[in-house]
Amino acid sequence: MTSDLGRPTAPAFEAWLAARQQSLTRFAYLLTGSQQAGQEAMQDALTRAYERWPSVSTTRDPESYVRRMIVNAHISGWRRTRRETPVPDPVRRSLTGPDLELADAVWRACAALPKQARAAVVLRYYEDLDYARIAELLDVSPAAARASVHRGLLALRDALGEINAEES
Amino acid sequence: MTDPTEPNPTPDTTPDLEALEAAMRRGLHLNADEIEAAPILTPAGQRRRRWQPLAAAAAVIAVAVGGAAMRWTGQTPDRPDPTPGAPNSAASADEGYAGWRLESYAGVQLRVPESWGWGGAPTSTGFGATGDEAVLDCAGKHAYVVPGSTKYEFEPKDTPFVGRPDFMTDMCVGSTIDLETSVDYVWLGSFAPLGVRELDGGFTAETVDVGGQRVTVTTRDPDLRDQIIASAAAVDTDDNGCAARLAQRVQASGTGSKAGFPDSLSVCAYRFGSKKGNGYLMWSQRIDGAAVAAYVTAVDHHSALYDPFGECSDPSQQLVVLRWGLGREWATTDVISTGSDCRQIAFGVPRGALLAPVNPETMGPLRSGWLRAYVPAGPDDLRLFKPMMG
Repeated sequence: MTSDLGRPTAPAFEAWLAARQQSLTRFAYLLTGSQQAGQEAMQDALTRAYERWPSVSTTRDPESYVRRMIVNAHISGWRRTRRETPVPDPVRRSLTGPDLELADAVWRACAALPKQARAAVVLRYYEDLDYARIAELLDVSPAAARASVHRGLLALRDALGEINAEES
Repeated sequence: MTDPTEPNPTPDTTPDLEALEAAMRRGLHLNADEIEAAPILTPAGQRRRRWQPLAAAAAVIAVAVGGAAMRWTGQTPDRPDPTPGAPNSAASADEGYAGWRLESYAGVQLRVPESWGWGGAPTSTGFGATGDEAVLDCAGKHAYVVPGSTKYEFEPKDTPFVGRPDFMTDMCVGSTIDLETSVDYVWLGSFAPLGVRELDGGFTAETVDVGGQRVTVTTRDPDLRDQIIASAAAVDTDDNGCAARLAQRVQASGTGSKAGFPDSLSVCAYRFGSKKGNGYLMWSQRIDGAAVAAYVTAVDHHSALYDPFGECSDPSQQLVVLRWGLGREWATTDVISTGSDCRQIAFGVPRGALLAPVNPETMGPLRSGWLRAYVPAGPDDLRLFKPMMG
């Protein structure tokens, strides 16, 4: 539903969150590399979104807006602390066979990246953002965003190479 | 497909770029699908820094749409009074003024050729329209900003310009009004005496009264002078939809429920004198629908990443308000504070306002000479605003 200026009319925060929580949780998990860190970034962003909900809810795309808040919360957090935390094992519930191998390879590739590069990869291949938008979100140049993504692909190539080497 | 004329390549198991991208995309989604949402704590109880509600803006930008201009054609010493009820000069200006633009100041509007720049005019120590103290000339006779350029002051000195009472430089000359010039100019809010005066170099300066505000037009070209003066009108709301005065400071807000953007909107920059709450229009501009959409998009985006200043509490001498809407269906007021200690946009939405930064991206769609010419910069944004003096 949209309102003036293309902005949607305001759904209740709780109803909106109930509908979008799963999607946001997955995004935050990929972005941060852990359930806990994702939860913290999401909590921070949602708290802020809640406080501003009458305004946030009338933006054209509240979910994108909150996702940007999650990115911001995550980036702000690591910029404040400059502390690298160990990446826990990925959550595995149902994957088997080649899907499991691919998921693990991607997870290892992302875990090997600096946080900013990991964020760039997630924004590029999970959110499908272009480089200019990624650069804006991460406060880097488009060239740096592209380089980060490329670095992620190289890491994935290495991870997939390890799998091939083990299988041959 | 492999070219059959080429030798059979060595088998290569290294994935190509597209395959890697596809693998990364699929792998990310596989990982994401493994996650179940965990309970979220009630945000209301979380610790948070809070920002203050938008208070009186240090300096604000305003956009307004609609509102019929109530015009009063200027009465000059050697020109007849306007015929009551006859089409006023500003209204008919649209026909005879192709390639000209509207300039508005404190209840007076007129038109000048599009290529003219912006500069200053003698001002009082009471900052122009609201003061009657001794006159100071802190501008000289040249444009400081020209259309299409981001430079300040170092423009071609022969560019004609529209001047408003303001401090364009800290090099001021006091006491008397000096009309002499080497370029054409218009002074809005002029302190020159009424009448016509012949100047050196073949220039003639004519000062007329338009609804209580004086306008001085100085040029060698009598037809040009007549044309500019004929376009002058006193207005309560100018042809850009900007009220000539603000009785009180405004806050960002929004009402209504209609989708879409207006075809255009007007940017109205106000300045406040010594009396708190009384602002006069310093400058106005109408921007088109594409610029409106770009502005909304930029503000939407940057507000999500923005750490608000908190309360902009310092009453400033500058205020800009953006007001836009379609009849009674919906209306939005945005307020942009441009004080050096607190610069931010309050972007009106129903039941409140989003806060966003003042930066080249959010100001870009609204950006024009006035921002550069008449809004003083803080230390970090010399590209957007008038450089700091002193």
